[in-house]
Amino acid sequence: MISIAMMMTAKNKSHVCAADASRFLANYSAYLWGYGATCIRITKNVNRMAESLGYRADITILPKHVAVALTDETSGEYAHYTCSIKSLPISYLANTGMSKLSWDVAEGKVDIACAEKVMGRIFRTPLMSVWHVMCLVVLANAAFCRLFGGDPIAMAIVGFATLLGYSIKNICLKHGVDVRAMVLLSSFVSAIVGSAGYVFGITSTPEIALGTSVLYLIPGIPYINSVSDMIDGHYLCFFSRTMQAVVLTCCIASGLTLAFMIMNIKIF
Amino acid sequence: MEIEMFFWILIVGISIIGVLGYFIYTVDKPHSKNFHYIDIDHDDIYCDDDDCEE
Repeated sequence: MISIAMMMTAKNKSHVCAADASRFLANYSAYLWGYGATCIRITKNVNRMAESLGYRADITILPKHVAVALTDETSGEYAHYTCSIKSLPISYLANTGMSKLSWDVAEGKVDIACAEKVMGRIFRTPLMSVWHVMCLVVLANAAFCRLFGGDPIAMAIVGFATLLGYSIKNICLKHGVDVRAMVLLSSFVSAIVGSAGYVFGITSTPEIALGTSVLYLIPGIPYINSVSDMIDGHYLCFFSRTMQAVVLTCCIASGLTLAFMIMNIKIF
Repeated sequence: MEIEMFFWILIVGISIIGVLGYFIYTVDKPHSKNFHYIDIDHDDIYCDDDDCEE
């Protein structure tokens, strides 16, 4: 088994120089970060591929850049490549494809040139239909309302608030509106719709309808990833992700507060 | 409460008209809405080029 692995490593090494490998691995890391992977996932995948190619990888992950240094410990060949992190929509589907790709490279099933093409194909894979996602988000947010004790009318209000806010969010995203402005606007409209319980007195749990109407905007993945980065010791990435999430949360709070003011709701 | 009702109807009405208007305006525009999983079958998806090694 060991000899097979060594043969495979030798075969891969003969095809890939350190410069090409480091460029591929840095690009791979930048894309993987963009798809929403944590630092520990990026490190594991890159190390897996680098080892199979016969190199030792030293990865520097910064909030906006990734640098991969490859060293061949036998010949001393060294290459270093830095790549800007891609701004991509978070996609677990793409994450799965990228992880599968790393295993295929590590097992010698694909070479670097083919892996780059696969990476391009993963990048071009269409996202899940907006309509499917919207239906699921509406149902999920209404379920949240029920989970927090909302009655069926409150659930309907939350469903409608989510539908309208999420539509605005999609329209803004499609036209490249700043994410913070998009979150603020969506939050404001959802909160206005969510205040129907107070304004029209049609539900016995208006506060739950209002509170849960903006939950779909909470940046959960950046928060979760930041904790993972903190546990793994990537404090710069932890801080960067946390700040991104905090800024978006502040935008949600601003939209909500604006709605409170316009609807003259005095909860506090 | 009437003024709040007025604001609610105004803002929600504008939002609904805006969103519906946008969808009606873009309904005949080409856009990608196909959904499919990344097929992780190596032979099928990963290598359909001659220069990819098996």
